[in-house]
Amino acid sequence: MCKKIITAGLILILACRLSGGQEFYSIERVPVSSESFDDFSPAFYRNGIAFTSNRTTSFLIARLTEEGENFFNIFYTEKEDEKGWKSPSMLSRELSSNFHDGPASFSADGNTVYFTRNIPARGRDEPRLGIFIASYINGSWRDITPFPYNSIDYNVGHPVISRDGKTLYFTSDMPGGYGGLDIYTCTIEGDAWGPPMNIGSTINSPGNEKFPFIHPNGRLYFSSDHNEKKSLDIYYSDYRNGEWMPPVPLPEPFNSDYDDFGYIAGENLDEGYFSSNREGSDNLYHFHSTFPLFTQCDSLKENDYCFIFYEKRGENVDTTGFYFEWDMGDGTIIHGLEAEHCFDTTGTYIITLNVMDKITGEVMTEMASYEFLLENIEQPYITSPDTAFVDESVTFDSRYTFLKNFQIEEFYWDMGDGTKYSGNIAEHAYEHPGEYIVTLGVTSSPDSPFGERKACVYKTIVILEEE
Amino acid sequence: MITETINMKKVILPALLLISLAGSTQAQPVPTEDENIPYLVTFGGDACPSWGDDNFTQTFFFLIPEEHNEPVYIRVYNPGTGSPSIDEINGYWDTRVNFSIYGGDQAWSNPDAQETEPVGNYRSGNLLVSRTFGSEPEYLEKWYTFGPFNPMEGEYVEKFGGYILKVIAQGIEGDDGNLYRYYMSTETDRNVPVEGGNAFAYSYTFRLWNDPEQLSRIFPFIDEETVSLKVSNFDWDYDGEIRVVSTERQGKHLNVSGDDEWVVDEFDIFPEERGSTLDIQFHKLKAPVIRNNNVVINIRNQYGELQPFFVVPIGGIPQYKYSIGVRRRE
Repeated sequence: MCKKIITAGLILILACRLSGGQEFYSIERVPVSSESFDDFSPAFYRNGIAFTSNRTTSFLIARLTEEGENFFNIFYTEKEDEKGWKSPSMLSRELSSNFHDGPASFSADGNTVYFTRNIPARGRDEPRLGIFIASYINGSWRDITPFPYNSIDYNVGHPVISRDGKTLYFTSDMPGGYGGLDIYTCTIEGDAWGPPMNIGSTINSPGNEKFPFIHPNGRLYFSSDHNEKKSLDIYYSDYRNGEWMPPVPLPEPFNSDYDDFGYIAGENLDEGYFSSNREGSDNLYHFHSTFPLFTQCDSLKENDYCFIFYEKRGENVDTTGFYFEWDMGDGTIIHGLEAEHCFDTTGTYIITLNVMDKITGEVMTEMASYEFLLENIEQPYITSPDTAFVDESVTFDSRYTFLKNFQIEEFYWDMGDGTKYSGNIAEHAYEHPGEYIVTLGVTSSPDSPFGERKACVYKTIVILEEE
Repeated sequence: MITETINMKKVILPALLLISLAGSTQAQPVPTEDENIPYLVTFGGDACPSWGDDNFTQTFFFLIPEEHNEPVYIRVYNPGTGSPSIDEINGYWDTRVNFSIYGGDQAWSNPDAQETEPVGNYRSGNLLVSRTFGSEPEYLEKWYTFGPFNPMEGEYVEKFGGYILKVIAQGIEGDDGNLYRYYMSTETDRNVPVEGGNAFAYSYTFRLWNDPEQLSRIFPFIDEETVSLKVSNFDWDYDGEIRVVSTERQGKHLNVSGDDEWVVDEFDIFPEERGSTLDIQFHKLKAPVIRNNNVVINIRNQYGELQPFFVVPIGGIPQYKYSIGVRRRE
């Protein structure tokens, strides 16, 4: 079971062991987010985040909803230093309407914003959600243009643009879906957006799927309330061979018994934000990976106990007048100018060379000796099969790790499919066929005589379809 | 992973020989015990070169350290011909061999003195003493003493750190082989070595042992400028093998000459061999046993400069140090 530790009321450090691996994340509420307002759906923008909030703004203070609450607007904040954040401010007056505005998504260059805004509905119905697009020109957001598939009959919102700017993901309850809000995509075709495409029943359910986020690696994150507790949880799905894979819920600490949504993650998935009402109001949370970062890992090298011994300068001179006899130190005697030998195991071997002069017949014993220390290659070592089947449990073992001057504190496994473990041994089953790069990282204790050190190695495992 | 326990250390010799000479106490026998050569050989001037002497002349230079200021004597064992157990007779004893000793300026430094052939001013320097021996019974298998010589009568050579006396043995007439030895002594009637003395020659004419188990050797000193060597040997009668050993060389085979012929072998010198001594070994044939084999050998570098054979090897007899290397099997 997962354990949740609440520190100082704000910082949550969670670690849990799940069947699909362990989670190595720490989360903390973004300090500027509080129970006084609702803050949600962060988006990376410039050096900080843009998010949707109903917090008070000085110039909108008089404009309230029928319930007497502030309208939602798009705000921006960024880290001031390691500890503090700048006070959020409205991203732009131009992007603020008389109703709710947000969430927003930005193009890779930051000069185009796609955002949700209320639009009037047919008759006396509640206002609908619509998507609008604006361009940042000469210091202000201009040319605010409605998305062509906005409608007074249904909602279209929560846009997120792909890294290449060609595909817009959004949520909608337009007719033809699988119930509630579904995730759709539109692809830019020339200067116009192509028709909305429901991304299918693998993702979309009778419940509501919304707050999508498309990571640069192609993985789709979204939230859905199609679960037993009927609250929003965050899921992800990978796009393989032309179809979306079944959604996988994020574990704690991302998902809770409350609404968890609006997930975004950085390039390496080791840091990001999401929103949740787990503390009453909607708040923004920052997460980062506690899995050590291992870089410049070497590929695993197989230990080899076979060597060739030779007389160093014998290659340069005439050695035809001599016989060489090699004592390999393990009971093996070899005759010849070179001695090729495979040792059974590691150890220290005393290699001795006896020389016989063909002309004089003189036998010169132990003309040279060599203390040969045969060790395994200094590296973390992964013992595992090279090939396995989908859903087959595979054991990855680190027992033959050999590192000098390294007081091992912990082993870390990155299975190459997003799953991570710690410990000497990792048992893992892959869900999909393909080639995976398994990385074994080792850390040493900061208190060890040699200080805090890291070492890592990787190998490839091929996962085949089940027969 | 790999720890080497044998650490080859090359003995770097100084370019000047002075330091090495200073420690020697066995310089005076020529040939020395280390060389294990039974006798030097000089045939009478009417002999045939195919008997093992190409020019009937042999020149040795004796080095007297400058610290030595007592008289020295050059002693010759069996200076004449006529000993049936040592010398080589051809028909009847009719050979006369002259021994002349030179000192003073040019005794060594004259280029003709450092050549193999007795031409030009090879008798350079001041003639100190000269005597010709025939088959007089009183000198057979006995020591004859030249001297005393004041060391300063020799030519002072700075790079050798001492004085040089030149001894030329030359067959005047006859066709017998004169086999003899030298000794530089501090005494007139016995062999007492001059401390730190040495002797060298640029061309070596000597007798090989009849016993094939005996190993004779000579010790050329290779100067710092040498890149390659030409080893010339004469009239070896295909008697075995010449092997070159050094600290860097386990044993390089050189071709030996046949009867009345010169054979020249050329090979490159390793950088580590420059400024050091080589050990040139003469391994006789085990069978058939060749008897009374007289041979000649000299060595030149790439400039044609003769490299001296020191009877006491400079820096000692070089020993090849075996060293084990290891590499992974491909």
